[in-house]
Amino acid sequence: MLLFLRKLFFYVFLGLYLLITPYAILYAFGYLVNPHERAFVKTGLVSITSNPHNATIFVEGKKYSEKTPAVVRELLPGRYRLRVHRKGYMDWGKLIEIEPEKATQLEPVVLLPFRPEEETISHQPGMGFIPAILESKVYTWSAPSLKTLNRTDLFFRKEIREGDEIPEAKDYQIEDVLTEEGSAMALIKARGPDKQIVYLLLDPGEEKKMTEQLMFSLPKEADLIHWNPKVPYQIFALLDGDLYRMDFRKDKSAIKIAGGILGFGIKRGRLYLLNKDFTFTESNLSAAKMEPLLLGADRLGTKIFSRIKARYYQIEVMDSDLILFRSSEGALISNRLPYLHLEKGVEGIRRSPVLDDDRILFWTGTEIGLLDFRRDKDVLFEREPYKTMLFPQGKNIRQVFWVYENSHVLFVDENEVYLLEAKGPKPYLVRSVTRIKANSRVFYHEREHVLYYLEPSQGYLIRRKLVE
Amino acid sequence: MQNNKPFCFSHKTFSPGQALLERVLGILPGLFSWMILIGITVLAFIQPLKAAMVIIAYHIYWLFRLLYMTLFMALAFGVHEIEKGVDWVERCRCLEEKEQSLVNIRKKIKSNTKLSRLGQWFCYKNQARELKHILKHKVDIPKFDDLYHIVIIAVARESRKVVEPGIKVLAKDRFPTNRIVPVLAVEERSGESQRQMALDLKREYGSSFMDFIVAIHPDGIEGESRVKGANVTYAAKQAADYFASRNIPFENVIVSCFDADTVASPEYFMALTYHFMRHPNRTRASFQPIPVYHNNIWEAPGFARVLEMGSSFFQLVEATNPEKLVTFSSHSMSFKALVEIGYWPVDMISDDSAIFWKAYIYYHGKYQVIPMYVTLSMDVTMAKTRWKTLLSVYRQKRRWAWGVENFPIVIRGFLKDAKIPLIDKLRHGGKLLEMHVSWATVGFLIAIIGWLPAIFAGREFSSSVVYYNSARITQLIFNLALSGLAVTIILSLLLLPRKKTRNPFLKRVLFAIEWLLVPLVFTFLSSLPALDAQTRLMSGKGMEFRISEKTRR
Repeated sequence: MLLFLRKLFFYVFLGLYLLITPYAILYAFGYLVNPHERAFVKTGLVSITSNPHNATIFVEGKKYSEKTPAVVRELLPGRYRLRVHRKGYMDWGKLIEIEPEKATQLEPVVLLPFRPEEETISHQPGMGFIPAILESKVYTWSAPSLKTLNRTDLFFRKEIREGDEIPEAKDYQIEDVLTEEGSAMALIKARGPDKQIVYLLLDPGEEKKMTEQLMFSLPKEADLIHWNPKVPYQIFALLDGDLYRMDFRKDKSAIKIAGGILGFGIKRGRLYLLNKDFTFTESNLSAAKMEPLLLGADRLGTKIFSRIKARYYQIEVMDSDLILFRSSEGALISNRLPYLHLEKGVEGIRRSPVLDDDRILFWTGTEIGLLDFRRDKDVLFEREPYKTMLFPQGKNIRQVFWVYENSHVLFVDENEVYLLEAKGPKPYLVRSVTRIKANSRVFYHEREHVLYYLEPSQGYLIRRKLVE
Repeated sequence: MQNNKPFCFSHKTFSPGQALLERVLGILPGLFSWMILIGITVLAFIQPLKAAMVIIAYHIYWLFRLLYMTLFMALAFGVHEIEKGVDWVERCRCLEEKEQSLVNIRKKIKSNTKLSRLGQWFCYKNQARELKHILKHKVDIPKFDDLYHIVIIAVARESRKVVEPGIKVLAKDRFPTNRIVPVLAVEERSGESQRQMALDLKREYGSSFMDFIVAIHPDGIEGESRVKGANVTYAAKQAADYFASRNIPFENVIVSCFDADTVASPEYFMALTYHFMRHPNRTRASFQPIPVYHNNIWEAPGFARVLEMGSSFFQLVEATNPEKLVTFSSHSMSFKALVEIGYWPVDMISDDSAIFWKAYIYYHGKYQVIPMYVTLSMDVTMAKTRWKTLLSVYRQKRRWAWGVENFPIVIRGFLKDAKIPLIDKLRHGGKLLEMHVSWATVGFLIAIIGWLPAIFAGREFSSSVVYYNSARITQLIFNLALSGLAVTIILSLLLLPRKKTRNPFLKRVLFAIEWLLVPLVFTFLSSLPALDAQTRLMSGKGMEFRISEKTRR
């Protein structure tokens, strides 16, 4: 009896297997039977995640059965109007092209709330600010003078006038501030009464925030400054082809450590130097024991760099073996083929905050683009990096940030902040986030997804949650 | 005499040509396993779309196989549960009475209160069918009172705590114990203490049986390896002398070969006697019970428990397919057949399955394994620490998987024997190869390699429809497979022996949760040792017979 059942079920299961498997494989590859044509048709799909999730999806105006995150399958090739809706948030919509056997990824769709979660941090009218988020403090100033520096304690919501307590700095005019997300420290570039440029280290963790010991001056304005908050007391400066090293604690004057330098960069305690003869060397931080990485004599260095006229280069060494050279005139060169990626106009680059993610955002005054240096695993010959123009219609782009796991870009164009898609199908949607005080800068904290900015009318400092 | 020049079932004694063939055939299972594993891994990297296609087909194949196995596992379990209530003494008597009993069986079965109504119906149908077959084919039924049992218990390093329970239960068996002869097969090399233990057991329990033989197997007999087969062969030869000296024909003797820890269920020998009596070719048959590992199941670590339960269930499923059933672990057979074929191989580790193949080839394919839905309980491999248990379990599974050593010999035997029908050769040879290759590959393919196309997806693959749809299909397959797992969990709970324990409900819930270890346990403690064994056979390396550690708390 059991033997008979075994044989019976064996043939039943075998038959089912032979029927189901080809269908499952065809389905996996996107094939479906079109009942009208009585033939197999290739389909495509859209994978949608959203922030916040649980949003309703509309395909060609029809509500889809699943909410985000979802995969809309079995779409015949063609154009589809997609809309993502969630109560309390602005609708997101796009016309997307579905290609056979291809998956279009909308991961994630960021939904902007009608009423964003925001609070006013400082009620003092400000001209600029220094976010020291790790120390739960924010510094604002209401006039260019350091004397007007205010400190707001984010924890106790208390504002303290800090400028009065820094007599050394009272006559200095703030020109620029260098900060980094992972540090509470800031390097303030200021101009003294004698027009001399000075650098002041602001350490919110110290009792004395800025002292004479933490102030430095250079013979003249540097072409390039390198300051790393992880080694905060050291500054490297490039001045007319000479490289200087300064230490707030040790030296009282800038020490020249190398000459004939066209550009430099520092990574993990190693100094990378592009010399005027187009050799490229690596050394310790004292510029002793230089090891050549690229010889000018073999002409490759000359071939790469001589085509571009540049006063100096800023060098960025990535975690991978990618090295970027940005010239004073805005050319962008790398050590990957075809070496020269952009001939001019680049005003800034922003590397990916994700480790080993070789994607670079670059911007000129009017455009934002993406250079994708990631290597394909299964290709034999190295290709050029993918260059994508994300936003070509800017007026005066001043700041650019990666947002939400590199899926979006936040940028300041003139006096407005925008959120731009950096992934998924074109066109890349751009949405206005807020207006800010004229010529002020913003700060974006990726871990908390929080934007700090000065509101346009009074200049009050606002903290705004950008995405959940 | 069946054959003028019987096939020599051994790795060693053959001509250079046969040696080469043996070597080539020994490479095949491992070669197939490695080719499948490496092939799909490489394909996942260089052609992820094609790899995804192969993996989908493979996943669906395993889903159907799993559902098929679950179905027959449940049916076999049902038969096992019903047969627990069968009165085997009555059934044996019915066989002797033949015609008269056919009239009375319905009444007799109805009077059996241990059987449910479904059980009564099943037993009636089964018994009536068997009796009709016996009458129709005029099957000669031996007299119950003429039958004898030899129970060979192989002892190496096992303590008295492990060996004694099996003998104790045997002494109280429902089959007349004055026709049972236990033979303790003790290895001389295991020392004086083991010899003394065997003699103590003989002194204590000898009077309960027809006789009690202690066979001390000397070390270093020419042609033998240090394997269990050599020990039990030596003991069986002593038993043969014993029965020959008493003029008891071997066709009336049934031999059971047990491990030291085997404890037979109370109905085992009666059920065995019944199956032996009713079978027309009883001297050309082995009798395979369901091995369960219940002796120390409450103390064993979770991973070992899940694995052994899995082995029991596999054997339960195999029992439903007598055409391809092969002996495994403790089992019984006709003593006449054992003597005729020249006992167990004395140089092979996998004596339990090798004895079937040896008999199958000796009798030119006219040898069968009869499934019995009664249990023999053994120990779950357990050492003093979890880590040692893990190692011991790994070694035990590798030893089981070393059953692959039969493949080259069996195929050589098939090639030499023209009398075995080709279809049977293909069926058995194909199953033997497929079983071992699947054993070594399934865990890796399902738990690891199947995910490679998705994990190492290049940009092109991750933006393809296949990337998303294959994940959906795999998820659906796994959800359906979970239903099979749910049945397995329920059956495992039903099969567990009762024990007075604190929080029995919580303990059973914990046992059920342990089944979630299946992917890990089956990959690293089933597929990996099998791959290890096949690789050793491929490279021509032998394997040492290591006794699994079995401790009791």
